[in-house]
Amino acid sequence: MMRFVRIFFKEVFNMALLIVGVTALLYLLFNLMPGFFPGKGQGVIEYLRLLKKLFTFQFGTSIISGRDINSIVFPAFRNTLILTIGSIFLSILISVPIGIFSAYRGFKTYSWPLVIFSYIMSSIPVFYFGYLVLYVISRYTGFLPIYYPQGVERGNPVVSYVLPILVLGFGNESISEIVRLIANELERVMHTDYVIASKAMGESVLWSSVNEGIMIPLVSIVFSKIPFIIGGAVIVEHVFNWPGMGRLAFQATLDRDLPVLIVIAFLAVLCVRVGMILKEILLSYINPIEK
Amino acid sequence: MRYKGIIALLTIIFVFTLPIAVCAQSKGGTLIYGEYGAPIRLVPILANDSISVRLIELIYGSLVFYDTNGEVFGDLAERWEVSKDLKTVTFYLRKNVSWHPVPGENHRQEFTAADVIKTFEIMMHPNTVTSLQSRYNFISGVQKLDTYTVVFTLKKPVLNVLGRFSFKILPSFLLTKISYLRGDEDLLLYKHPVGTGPFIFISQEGSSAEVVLRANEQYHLGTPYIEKIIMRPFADQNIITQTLLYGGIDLQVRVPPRDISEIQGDAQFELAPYSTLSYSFFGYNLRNPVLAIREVREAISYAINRQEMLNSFFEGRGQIISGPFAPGSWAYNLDVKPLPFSPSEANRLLDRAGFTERTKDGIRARGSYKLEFDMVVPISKENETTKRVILSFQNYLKAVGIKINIKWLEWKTWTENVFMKHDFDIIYADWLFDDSFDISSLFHSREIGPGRNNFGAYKNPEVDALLDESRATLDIEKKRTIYKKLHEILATEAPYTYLWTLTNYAAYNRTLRRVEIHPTRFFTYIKNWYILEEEPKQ
Amino acid sequence: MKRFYFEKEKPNIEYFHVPLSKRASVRDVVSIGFGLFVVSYLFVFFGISVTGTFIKDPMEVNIGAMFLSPSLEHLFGTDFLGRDIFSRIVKGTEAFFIPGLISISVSTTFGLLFGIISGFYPKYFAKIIFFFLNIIDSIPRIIFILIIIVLFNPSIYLIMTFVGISSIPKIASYIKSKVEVLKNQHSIEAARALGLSQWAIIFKHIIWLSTKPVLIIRATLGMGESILIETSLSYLGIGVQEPTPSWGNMVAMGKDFFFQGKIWLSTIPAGVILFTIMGLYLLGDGLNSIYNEKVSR
Repeated sequence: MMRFVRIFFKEVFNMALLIVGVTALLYLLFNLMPGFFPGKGQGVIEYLRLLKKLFTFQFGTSIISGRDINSIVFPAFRNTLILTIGSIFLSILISVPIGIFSAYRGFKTYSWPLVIFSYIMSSIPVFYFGYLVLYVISRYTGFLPIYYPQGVERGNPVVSYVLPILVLGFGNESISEIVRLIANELERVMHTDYVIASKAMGESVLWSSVNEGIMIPLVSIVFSKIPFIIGGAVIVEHVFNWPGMGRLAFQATLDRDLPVLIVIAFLAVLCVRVGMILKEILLSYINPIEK
Repeated sequence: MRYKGIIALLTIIFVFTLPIAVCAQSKGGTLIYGEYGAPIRLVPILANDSISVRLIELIYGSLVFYDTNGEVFGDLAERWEVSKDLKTVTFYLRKNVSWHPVPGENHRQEFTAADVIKTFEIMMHPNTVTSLQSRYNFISGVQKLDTYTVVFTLKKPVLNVLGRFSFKILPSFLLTKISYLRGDEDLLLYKHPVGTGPFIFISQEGSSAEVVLRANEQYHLGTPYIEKIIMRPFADQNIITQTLLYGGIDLQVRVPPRDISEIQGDAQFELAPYSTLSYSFFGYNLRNPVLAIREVREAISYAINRQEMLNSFFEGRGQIISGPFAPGSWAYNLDVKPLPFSPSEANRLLDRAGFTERTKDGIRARGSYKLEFDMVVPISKENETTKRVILSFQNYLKAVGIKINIKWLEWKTWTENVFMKHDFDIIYADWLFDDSFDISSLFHSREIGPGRNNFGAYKNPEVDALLDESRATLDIEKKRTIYKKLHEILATEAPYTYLWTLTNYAAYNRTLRRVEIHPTRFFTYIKNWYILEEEPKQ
Repeated sequence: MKRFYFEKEKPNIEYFHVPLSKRASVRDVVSIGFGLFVVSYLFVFFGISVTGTFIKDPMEVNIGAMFLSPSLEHLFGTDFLGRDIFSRIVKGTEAFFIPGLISISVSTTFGLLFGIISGFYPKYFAKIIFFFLNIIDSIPRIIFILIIIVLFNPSIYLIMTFVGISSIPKIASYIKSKVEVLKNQHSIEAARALGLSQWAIIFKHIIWLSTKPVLIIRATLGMGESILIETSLSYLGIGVQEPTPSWGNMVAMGKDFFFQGKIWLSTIPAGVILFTIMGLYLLGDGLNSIYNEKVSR
């Protein structure tokens, strides 16, 4: 128990340090560019004040549009989460079976077309795929499933949620990454001593290797995708007009809206570090063996 | 039949009232319109991008405005008087105009002269970040005579002054401690606009999400028919057209030229052309000694085929111009014809200017001066017609021995380079005008300097004198003559190569009726628009 | 042990080195073949575009011949300014070839460097190095690149350098974990068996063992990644700019005419991208399965 508490505090300290690092980097970058927007923060004192505001979760107002940053960022955050988490689920759903399949020696030739398929999906430019899907669907079904926050009677909300998740789930590069990782790890684990031993004792190879072979890589992949979860869907958000964080961050960069960007970076670091902590906890449950 | 007469009378009355009943405009309905981009700021005075301006038109009101016929129409002002010496303008404000309700409060404030005074003070304060000050500095001051009367005093007499009072009025009760606006204050007005216009702001969730407005039932010019308006910002221009075609939105404010034929072919949609008072041009930086030579600039104008570009990229929907005014305006001199496409003439002019040598790349040169220029272009939202025009420009000039290096800069960097640092040779841009067509800020020599509009450093004492004269004169015929002369001179001198004025098209679903679009402000007549409830019969 | 009387007694040598013909399966041969084909046409295209020996000029604007569909004269048709798409695709290899190589080299060099240092000195250096690496890792990659581009307006080479930088943390942490494991194995043996002079050999041995799998995969993946990132940037308008052709900005150009039926403008460059990246992935896969130790053969 004490161990957990100590780890927890260490992680929190690391996280705070990291937040300072990230925000300092952004702040520095923006201040290197002279004369961009009125009322930009000058110097270290402003920066320290900014830090204090962040840590107390008072995000203030955007200097470009004058609106409350809270009301801008959190709805966008929620929207992006729906999109990215849904798409990661989809990617995992598709790629883990393919990976498992291709790790078995006997099935290699049969699973190869599936592996090829996953490579094809990872090689298509995402926005092209989105356009293609929209084109086909609109010409064949006569309606265009774009997300409508208001005016919901104009479209089918369920389909309009499904489509971007579909496109993103197939189109991000995670599929080939997960397939490759699972295939390699599973194959390696299937031939370690303890798995062969348990096979000799009659247990299924897959079941005994599942912990180390599948769960661990999966957990690491999912948690390493957290930065993607926060801001990685910029393209799909543009194509499907999804009001999310990626689009927000891009717009804020173009407008030189530093407060919004710093808040986004702050949230990103927060989520990543919290994710890391969760990952460590999860991993220690799944794999009690010291690796 | 004893009652024949009565029956006949009743039938006649019934027959005559029937069309009226059928044509009665249906109230209610939601209008969803799509824009490419997101509004930056929904506050008058500070906002100068067209998306915000269109929304502001729905929410806020002004004293007067020009309608499509050029007549002055009173919005918040009921009557007005201009003194004989044209130096005093008195506005009698409408009574019983109420501001939109502030969130959290129930009752609505009344619009009074205090609002006008406050707005004017904020607008003209030197710390306010706006470009409106130069437009309104002909006004020396404003005074409140009583709760519903204001008097503006002008520095000198101005022609057609009434239409100039078209600035939007802000609510003074929300700006009690403010004397200027910089844009980074923590104001309720930034988060929740409050105005006197036909539509009331409800919400704007997120920054790339939609703006929702509802009809102002107490609008002083009559309640709008449409119940709700939703503005959907889009990040991708192609998706807007597709969403329109599939019923996701009802109105597209500006259809890109490539999509026009697709919408035209669909009977369910209507295309409404409207011309804004704008034109596109290539601008030159006369600080570059080579570009300061007039023959060089003229040669460039001869070397490009404007008609071909207009036809191929914009489907011919526009008009080539010969001078710095929009055609169809009173200032345009129809006698000055645009230069034809003639590379041979361009070559001749360049030879005459002495650029007869050629480098090994084929670029013309004269001594150490080469005809090689840097063209800076803003990457302001993907725009394929801009790219096509610029690349064709590069291509045409290559044929006569001029080399253009294209530098793509991000929008803010571009603005800084062009208007502040003057670090460019050529730019491609458009100007948008109001009705006074005061081009002195573009070509007058005192407008040379950082942040000012004469970015090319064009200096001509004759033009200066004419511009000053045109501002001073009150006689409209004299003004027209001066402008015609200016047109002639500026066409020959060619500080810009004038390209064209494009016809803009808005597209909307046919269920939207009585659509009238104001050329510069778009939604001015929104209260007359209505939505048909059932499908129109084919 | 002899199972039958006529069987020869095979010497009981442990083979660590399995000959190539036994290691490679049909699948690997096909993968590598395809991959090599892709790499070879990339080199050919790159060579053509660098020396400028095009059949049709990729920059030649011809307004009268816009939007022609693929034909004998224009193998892939013409684009929105009448330029030949096929030559532009050939020239487009220039836009990602060297920048992609830059991205790969930056990420692998520094990834290896930091990973190895952190692996050998996990207490001291690792903490500092990983602090900075974690900063880079926490910001979503696209956002990071967007900020850099918007603020500094860099050339594609610099952009790709930053893409490479953003990949360093992953590689460094992977290498670090591998090095730590190997180090413990070998250090115990070394301490037992030989003296100090063997440290250098072990050093090299560990580094080689740990880096080998990474290099091949990273190289092929990195190239593919840089193409796709450039494509996304072109969609947003901030990738390689006109008139320089790049596969990304050709797909982006075509998207404006996609819904009107001129699908080939976008599809052909997208297809080329697909083909190329597939080839690179398969090449990496095939080489990986041959050269890296697999237990299951």
